[in-house]
Amino acid sequence: MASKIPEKALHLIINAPRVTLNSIKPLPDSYTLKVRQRRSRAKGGQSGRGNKGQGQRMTLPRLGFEGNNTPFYMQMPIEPYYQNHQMIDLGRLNTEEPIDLNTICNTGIYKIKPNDNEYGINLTDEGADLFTSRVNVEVQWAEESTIAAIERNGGMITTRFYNPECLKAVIDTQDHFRKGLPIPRCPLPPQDALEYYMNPENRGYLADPSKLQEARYALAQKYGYEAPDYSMDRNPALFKKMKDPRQIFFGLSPGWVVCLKDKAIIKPKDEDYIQYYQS
Amino acid sequence: MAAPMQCLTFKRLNISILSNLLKNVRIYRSLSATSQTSDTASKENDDYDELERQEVERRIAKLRDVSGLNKFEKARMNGVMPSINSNRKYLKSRSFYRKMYAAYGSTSGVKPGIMWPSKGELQDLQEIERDWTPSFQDMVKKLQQEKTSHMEEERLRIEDVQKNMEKMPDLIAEYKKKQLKAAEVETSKSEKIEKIQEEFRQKFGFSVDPDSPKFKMFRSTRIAEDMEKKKKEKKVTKKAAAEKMLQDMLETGSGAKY
Repeated sequence: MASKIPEKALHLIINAPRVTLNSIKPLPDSYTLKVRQRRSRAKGGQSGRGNKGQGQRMTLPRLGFEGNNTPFYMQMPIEPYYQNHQMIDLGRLNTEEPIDLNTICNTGIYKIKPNDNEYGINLTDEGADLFTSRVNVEVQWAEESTIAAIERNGGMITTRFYNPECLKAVIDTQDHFRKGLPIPRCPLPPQDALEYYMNPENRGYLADPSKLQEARYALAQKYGYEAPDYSMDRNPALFKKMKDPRQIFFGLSPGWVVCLKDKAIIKPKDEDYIQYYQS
Repeated sequence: MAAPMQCLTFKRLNISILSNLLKNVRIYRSLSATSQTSDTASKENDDYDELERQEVERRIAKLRDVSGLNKFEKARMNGVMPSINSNRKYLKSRSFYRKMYAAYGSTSGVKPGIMWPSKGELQDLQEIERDWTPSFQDMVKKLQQEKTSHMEEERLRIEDVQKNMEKMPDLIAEYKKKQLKAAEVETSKSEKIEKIQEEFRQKFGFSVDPDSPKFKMFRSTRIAEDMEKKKKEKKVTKKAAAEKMLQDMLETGSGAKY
């Protein structure tokens, strides 16, 4: 019995698979199989398309279709932020003019929906280390790090509030003028937002102007850069352009009507109207 | 496709014929004018020529216009305010006239005063502004009040916390005492179990797990025995006490005065 074990082992070794010409497979893509798909059903075949149904009639559902479920590739929300990140680099915004919500919306790539309780732009600090533009920008909300990134480059930032009515006029100015309505008067922010817009640390538009410079200096000390001096800028006029808290467009007062057809501005003369819109 | 093509060619032909005709008429008129001597006649002819030219041009324009638009849309396309003959409510509203002015400007014939609120509406707006909208000063005052009230609340809370913190050492000591007591109870329980286990070992000659049913049985019987013993003892002590009391009473009397 024991004498058979070495024999079996030898037999195993002899018959074990080894590299021969038979056992070598051709390399992938060394040759291609020709698919012989019959195109005609003249001789009674079904051309490899099976019997009846969507396959044969070429009405198969689209790729990724899950049979009445929302397909997986459509469940992910779109986040097209990359467009908004390059507004200055691509020349969509002119840095020699003050940038506000109106100019940003006029680029046509930034959308705000006031009906969905959106109140404007929240400028975040993503890419703050790479930011090098000197701008005078007006947004609705900004973090401390964002303010630092803008002021480090000698720019200016203000945060301001628009109510939904004014927001609609600012976002789509042409649409507002087409309705033949006067430019609205921007009301004050609501009670719970007043503190933010009065705080010079947030560069609020209702903050005390004398305290703003102090806040700028304090932030520069905190982040380690030189506080901006707007009078020494190459274009000091850029930082002198200001809007009244009631005003929503540069150079246009509330209560004025702009006629696009006649290219004319119509102003009210009645004292009551002037008082209401200017107060 | 064939029919409209034919139509177009016909129109073009028509235009060319008309223009040729106009040219011929002009040449004829100019030739005849040279032969005529009276100025009045030439003037009359010129007027006639002009009228004819206008008529022809009008006809040419009509032929040229292949848009197929109706009068309203044609006017709108040319930036002229279309005349509206409709009784629809919207077409007589202020917002519609405002839009008309915005679209066609001063040519629309709409008075631009329509774009502002009326006097009555303005009064309402002013009333809302005066009576229902808080002014900036009021809002700031309210903000400061809120801040001070919040600070006061916080101060009171901190005071309360400090007052309670003074009680803290006593409470901690009490808690530790409680814990010690609980630990003592635990140890006494475990000791009791060990004692019964030891008894079990001495009785049967082997040790058991305290969770085993055999031991549990033993323990329950043991506890019952203990209880009975205690009861008996209590009875005995009670009896002894009663006897002693009776003895005392017999020796000293009831103590009552008689």
